[in-house]
Amino acid sequence: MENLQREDWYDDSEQGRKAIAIGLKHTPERWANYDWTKAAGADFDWPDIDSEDIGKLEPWLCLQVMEDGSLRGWQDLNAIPDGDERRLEACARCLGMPADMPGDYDEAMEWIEAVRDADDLEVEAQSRGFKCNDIFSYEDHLDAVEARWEEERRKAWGDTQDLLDDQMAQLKQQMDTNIAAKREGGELDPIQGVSIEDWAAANAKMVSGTTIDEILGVLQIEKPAWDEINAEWNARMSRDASATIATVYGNAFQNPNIGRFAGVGSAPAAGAGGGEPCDFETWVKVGVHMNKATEQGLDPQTILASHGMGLNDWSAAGAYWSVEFTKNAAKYFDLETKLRAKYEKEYAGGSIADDIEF
Amino acid sequence: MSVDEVRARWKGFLGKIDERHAATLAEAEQGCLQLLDLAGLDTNPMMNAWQGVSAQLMKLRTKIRGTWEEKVEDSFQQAYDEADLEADVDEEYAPGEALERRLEVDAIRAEAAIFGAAADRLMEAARAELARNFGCTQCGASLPVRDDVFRSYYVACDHCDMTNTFEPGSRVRSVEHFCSHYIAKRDTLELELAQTAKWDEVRAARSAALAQLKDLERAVSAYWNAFYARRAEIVPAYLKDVAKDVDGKMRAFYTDMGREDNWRADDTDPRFNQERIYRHIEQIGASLAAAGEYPESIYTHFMMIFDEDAIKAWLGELWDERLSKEVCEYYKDDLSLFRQLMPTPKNPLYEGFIAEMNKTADVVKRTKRKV
Repeated sequence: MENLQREDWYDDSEQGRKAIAIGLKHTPERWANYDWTKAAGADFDWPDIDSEDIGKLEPWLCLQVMEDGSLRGWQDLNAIPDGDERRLEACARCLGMPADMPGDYDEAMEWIEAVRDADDLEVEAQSRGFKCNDIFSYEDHLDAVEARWEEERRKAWGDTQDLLDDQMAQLKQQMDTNIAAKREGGELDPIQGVSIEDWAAANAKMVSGTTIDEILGVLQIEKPAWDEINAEWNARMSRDASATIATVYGNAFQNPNIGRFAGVGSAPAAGAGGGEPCDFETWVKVGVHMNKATEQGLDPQTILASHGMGLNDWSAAGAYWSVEFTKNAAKYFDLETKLRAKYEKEYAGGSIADDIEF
Repeated sequence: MSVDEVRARWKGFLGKIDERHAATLAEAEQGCLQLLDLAGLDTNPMMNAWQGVSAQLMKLRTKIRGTWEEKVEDSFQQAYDEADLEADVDEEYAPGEALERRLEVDAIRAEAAIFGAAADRLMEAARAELARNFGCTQCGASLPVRDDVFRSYYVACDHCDMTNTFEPGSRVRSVEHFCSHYIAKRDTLELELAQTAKWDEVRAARSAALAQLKDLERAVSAYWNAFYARRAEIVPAYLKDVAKDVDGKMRAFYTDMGREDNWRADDTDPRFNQERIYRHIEQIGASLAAAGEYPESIYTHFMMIFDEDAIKAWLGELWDERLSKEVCEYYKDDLSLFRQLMPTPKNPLYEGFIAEMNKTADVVKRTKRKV
């Protein structure tokens, strides 16, 4: 019974202090005689606990059974408010993890599914190292092991998400600095009175059907001025290796109902106000379809139209979902991979390299 | 299979890829231009078609590496093992790698030729359109329309003095965004390929020698200068921006060079020599003057070597009016960068300097407006 350790350190609540005291009082030898089912805090009805009460309850320590049968670390089950979660945690601790389980999340999930799909679940479960006892069934053990994997995955994604969040924050900060610098340097100064936001909004409006004459009316300029303004903004954007001007343009293009263009032309593109412009699956599907079509020499805008979308819709969908994706990578990563594979198959075209073999 | 047999098979496979690539390009060169004519010189169908061809060509090229990794490498390894040879199997990939590079260049050349030819046709159509007679909206007299302006502009009628707005059609307009770009690209292709080849060498070297980097700098600069100059020959309105356009590209280049150790260590170039920058800083306070015409690159360096306390100390000890003016002079075109370098305006000398900078900035802005 080596490696005994406290896994959790509860502040200084009454329950936490008690739990630690119980833990400290047990030497490795004493843990061997510890019966978690008879602990003072045990409750096999597994009720949900009001989180307000956590910290004031009788602790219910449960040890982790390791692959070699040794015990390692304790957890106060009564610090888990959700009854089902508490039950699965207790089960995973008592029955341990199957020894030969794959170490990869996807393979582990397939392993669990294979047991669930087997004609004789008990035989299959047993053959793969799942267990049962007086309290927990094989099904419980399957659920508990699955929950453990999900938890590990959440933690792993948590780190990745933190990293992504940090990167996004850094990028944003860098971009804000760049924008401020460009503004100070005069590179975002209006051209003949037309700001970058006006220019982007005007272009977005024209994509969604507003005529050039209406645009000129709003900006109160004539065509020669518009042509010069266009050329100059394009030139500034092309010279800007940091893509700062393009970013400011893109933001205004996404939400063109600003400044002088508020209320001009069509309604704002869906999503510009914060809602979902289309569902996630549609975004992936249309993107894959456009890529595949481009590889076949087809016009991507025709593909967009076949999905009932225009350029503005697509741009709004991209702006919304690329941010959502990065903000919730754990939620969308696998889904995106699956959907992408599905639609790549659906829209696959031939390749001129297919018949050339080594 | 023996090593020779595997080699023969590998060679045969590469030959088939080469042949298919060439045949596809030949078809595309003809097909794209036919498509342009069929679409009444609308470039969109041709561009879509080329995108498709380009993607397919890319698949052919990537199949070389893919097949090597999937099958060929193992076949060679097995043949080597059977023959008890202890050579490096990777060397057998060399013909594949060489072919991949050549095919890539072939595709770039073909693209330049196709789009260049399309641009010529459009240019011809645009010139024909501009040569037509445009009548004054008031008196009907022929307007003096220019043949080197491809956007709308005001034209005064020589006969009645009425100001007309000349509105070019889509073919004429395409000269600015399509013809000038693709003609310049085709006409400077060799310079572009030369700089690409030098970039490849630098990347392959991992830590490239200074001479190699300087050589690359010359190639990059030669290409962008030639490209923008050629573009401005076609659209004279671009002439005033050639220097700015080249500078934009070179700034990006120098930012990349900031990651090259040997470039930074260059003793002959104060703009990129870290030691020298330190010395400048120590000797003349914010000797940001070293930034000269490439402030972004120097900014990259300063971000690496500066710390707030050091800035304060240097400013406090070494700053004076002369230096302030000197730095203003160097940074007059891009004060914002200097402000990013000096984010701690607590030192009174620094504040004085910023005030000086602001005055200069105002002067610069006013001058620019006048210009």
